[in-house]
Amino acid sequence: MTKRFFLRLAADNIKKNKKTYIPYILTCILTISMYYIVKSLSLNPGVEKMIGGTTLMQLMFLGSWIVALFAFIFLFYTNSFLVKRRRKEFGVFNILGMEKRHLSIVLGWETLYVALISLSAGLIFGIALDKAMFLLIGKLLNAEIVLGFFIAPKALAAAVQLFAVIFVLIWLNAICQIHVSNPIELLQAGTAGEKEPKTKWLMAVIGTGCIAAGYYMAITVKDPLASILVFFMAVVLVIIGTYMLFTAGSIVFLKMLRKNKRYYYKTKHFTSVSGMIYCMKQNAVGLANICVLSTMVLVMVSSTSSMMVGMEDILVTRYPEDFTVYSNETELEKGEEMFDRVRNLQKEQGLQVAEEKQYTFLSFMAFQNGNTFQVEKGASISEFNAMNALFFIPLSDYNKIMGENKTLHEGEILLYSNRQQYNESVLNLFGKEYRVVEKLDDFISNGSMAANMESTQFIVVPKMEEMNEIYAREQEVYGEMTSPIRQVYSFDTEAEADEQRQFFDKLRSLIREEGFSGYSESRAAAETDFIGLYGGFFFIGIFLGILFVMATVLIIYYKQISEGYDDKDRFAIMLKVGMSQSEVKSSIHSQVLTVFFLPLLAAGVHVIAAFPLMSRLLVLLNFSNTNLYMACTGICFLVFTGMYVLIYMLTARTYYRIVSS
Amino acid sequence: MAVLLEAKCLKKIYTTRFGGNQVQALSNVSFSVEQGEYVAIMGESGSGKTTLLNILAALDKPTSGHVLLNQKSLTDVKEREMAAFRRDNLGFVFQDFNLLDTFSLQDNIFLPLVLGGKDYKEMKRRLLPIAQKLGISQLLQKYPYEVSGGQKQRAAVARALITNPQLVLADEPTGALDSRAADGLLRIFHEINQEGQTILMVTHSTKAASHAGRILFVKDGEVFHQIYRGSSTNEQMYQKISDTLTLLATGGEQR
Repeated sequence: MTKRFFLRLAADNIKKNKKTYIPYILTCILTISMYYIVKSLSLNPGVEKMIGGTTLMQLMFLGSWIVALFAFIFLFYTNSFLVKRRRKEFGVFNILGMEKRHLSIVLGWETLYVALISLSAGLIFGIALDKAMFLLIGKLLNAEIVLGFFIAPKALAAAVQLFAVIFVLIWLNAICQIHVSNPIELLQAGTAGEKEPKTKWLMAVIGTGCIAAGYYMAITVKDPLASILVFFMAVVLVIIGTYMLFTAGSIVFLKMLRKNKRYYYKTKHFTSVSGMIYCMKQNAVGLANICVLSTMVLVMVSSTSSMMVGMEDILVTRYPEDFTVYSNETELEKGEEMFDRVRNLQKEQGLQVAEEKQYTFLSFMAFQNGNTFQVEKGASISEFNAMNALFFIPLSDYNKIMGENKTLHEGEILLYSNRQQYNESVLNLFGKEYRVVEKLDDFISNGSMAANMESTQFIVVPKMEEMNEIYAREQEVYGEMTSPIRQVYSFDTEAEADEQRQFFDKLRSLIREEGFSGYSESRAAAETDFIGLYGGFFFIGIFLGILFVMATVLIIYYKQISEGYDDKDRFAIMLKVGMSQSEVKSSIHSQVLTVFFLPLLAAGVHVIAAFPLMSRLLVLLNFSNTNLYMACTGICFLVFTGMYVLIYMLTARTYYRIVSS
Repeated sequence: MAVLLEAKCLKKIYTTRFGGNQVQALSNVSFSVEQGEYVAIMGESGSGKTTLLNILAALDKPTSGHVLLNQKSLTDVKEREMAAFRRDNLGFVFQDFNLLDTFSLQDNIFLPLVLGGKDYKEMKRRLLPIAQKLGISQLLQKYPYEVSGGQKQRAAVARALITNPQLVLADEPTGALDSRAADGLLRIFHEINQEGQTILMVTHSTKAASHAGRILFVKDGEVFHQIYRGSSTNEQMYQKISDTLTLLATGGEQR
C-alpha cells in the first residue's frame, strides 16, 4: 500500500466522521489558543510594566500549567471516545484485509492532520485573542494601552511542544485500543442488550441525606471563621450526595413515576420515563460530573469576578486611610516623636495632607463565653467560634476622632462589634465587670483589625489608666507574646497614586533608618498587589471557567450523539408501531432537554445553597458587599446558561438529524 | 364476503437522490383481500415484496395507483392523521420483532394503546385474553432480552392484535425463528384467522406460506401467479408452492 493511499484514506475518514471530528478539532483549536494566551501573557513585557503586573504574570505562569494539565486530560478523554465510536469502522477495515499495522498508520496520518489544522488555527486564533486579552487586562488594571502586536516565540514553541506530545500520546492510545480487540469484537461493539438498572434505595437515601446535610451546614453557618472548615465538609458532602442522587436517586424517582399507572401510561410520559431510566443508567456519572464541574465554574468565576469588581471596597475596608503608621514603641513619647518625624517628611516632600488622625489602642485575643471574655494562651480549632479580638481605646481619643462628646464613669464602656454582634449588657474581663452603656453603630475604621479573620469587639474605656490596667493583666497571661499598647497615625492625601508610592518608599526608609519600632502601610502601594492578585485570580477563573464549560459541553454533545445512534432504532420502531413524526420529535425533545438541563438545574441549586457560605467566606477577605456578589453570581449563571442553551440547540438539531435519518 | 383491502395498479419508482438512476420496484400490482382471508405474498429478494408491504402499510406512497382499505383510500388520509390511522386499523408483525428493550413485554404490547390515549384499565382488560391465547401471561413483566425469540414474536403478535385491527400485516414473521417457534407462530396465525382476523403475510418461507388460504407470487414488480388453497391440506399446499416456485425460477425467465 502506498503512502498516498494512506493519506487519502486518512483525509476521507475525517471527512466521513465530521459530525464527531469537527467538535473535536474545534476543541483542540480552542484549547491550544487558550494555552497560548495564558503562556504569552506570562511572558509579555507589556504586562510586566503594568501596575501589579508581576504578580499577575506569576499567576499566569501557574495558570499555564493548570491549562496544560487540563488540556491533556480533556483531549485524551475526547479522543478515546472518538476511537470507541469508530470501532465498527476499524472492524470493517480489518476484515477487508487491512492489518492493525496499517490501521495504526492511517490513524497516525489522521492525528497528524488534526494536529496540523488545530495547531495552525489555534495559534493564529490565540495570537489574535491574545491582543484582545492584553487590552482587556490593561483596561482592568488601568494601564496605558500600548498598540502593536506582541508575539511570544517562547509561548509559540511551548504550545507546539506541549500539544505535539499530547497528540502523539493520543495516537498511541488509539493504537492500543485497536490492538487489544479482534475484528469480530470491533464489528459487534455496542449491540449487546442492556439490563434494566437496579433500584438502590439505600444509596438514594444516603445521597439525599448528604446533600441535605451539606446544604444545612452551608446555610446555617454564622461565623466567618468557622465557615472555612464547614466549607470543605459541605463541599465533600454535596459532591458525594450529587453522585449518589444522580446514579441511584434518579432511578428510584423514575421507577416511582413508572409505578404510578395513571401518570405513566400517557403518551407524553410513556416513552420518556422508560427511556430516561436507561439513559440515567448510562449517563448518571457523566451528568453528575457535569453538575459538579458547572458548580465549580459558577462559584469560582462569580467569586473571583465580584472580588475583582469590588476590589475598591475591599481596599477601603482594609486600608481606611491612604497612609497608616503603627508605632510599637512602649513609651508613648517615643511614638509621638516618630509621628512628628513623619509629619516633617510630609512637609519636606511637599505632600498635601487632607485629613489625619491619631490614637492609642490595645488589642488581643479572647474567648467569649456568655458575657465573659476569657484570655488564655493557645487555642484549639473547636474554639474558633468563640474567638474574638478585643480592641480598647480611651474615651478621649474616641471623642476627638469621631467628633463626639460622650462621657463615661469608672466601670462603664461603649461597645462596637464589626462582625459577630455582642448584645449583652455587661462584659466580664479579668474578673472585673464592665457595664455596656451604649452599643455604637459606627466606629473608627482600623485596617489591622479588618485584616483579622475573627470578629472584633471595639471597646471604649473611660481613661488611659483602665487601658494600662488591662494591659498589665494581659501581660500576666501572654508574657512575652503580649501585644503592647500601640499608637496609630493615619492620614489621607490628595496626591496622585504614583506620588503616594514614592512617598511610601521614603516613609519606610525613614522608619527603618531612624530605628523606630513600628511599621507603615499605604493603600496605593497595596493596591498594586491587590490588582495583580485579584486580577490574576480573575483571569485564571475566567480561563478555567471557559475550559470547564467547553469540557462540559463537549461531553454532553458526544453523549447525545452516541445515544442518537442507539435511539435511532427505538424511534424507528415507534414510528412503525404508530407514533407520528411530531410525537417522536416531542418525545426526543423532552428527553434531550432533561438530560441537558438536569445538571445545570442541580448546579443552580447548589450555587444558591452555597451562597450564604460563600458570602461569609468572602467577608474573611474583607469583601462584604453581598449585593455585588449576588449580582455577579446572577450574571455568571445567566452567561453560563446562555452558552448552555446555545450548545443545546446545536446538539438537539444534530441529535434529531441522526435519529430521524 | 366484503372486500377489505384493494390494491389498484400500484406502481413505484425509486429515484436516486441526485436524479439519474431510476429503479422500478413495482410496475403494476393489483389484487384484493377479502374480510377474514389469510393471504401470503411470496417472491424472491428484489421482487418488490417489501415495497408492496410498505405501501400497503402506508409507510410509503406509490408513484401511481391506489390502496383502498374498507373503500377508504390511504392516499386520502392526511399526513397528520396517518399515525393514528395506522395505529387503529393496522397491526404489524416484523421479522426482527421490533420490541423496545426499554419496555417490559406488557408495556411493549400497551404501546399502541398508550399512543391512542386509552386508560390503564381498558388496556389491562384487552390484554388478558390475548396474553392467555398467546401463552405469554407469565412473561408480561419480563424484558425482551430475557425471553426467547419465539416468545418475543408472540409478544409482538399481541401488540399487533391489541388494537383490534382490521388487517394484520406480517413481514417475514418466521424469518428469525427456529423451526419449532416458527410452527408455534404459524399455529397462532391460523387460530386468529379462524376467529375472523384478516392477515396479510409477506414471506420467503414455503412452509409459512403453506398455511395461508391464498398465495400471491410477485416477480419483477408484478403479481405473476396465485394459488388458492381450496380443500388442500398444508402438505399439498407446500407441494403446490414448491412447484410454482420452481416454475418461477426456471420458466419465468422468458419475458
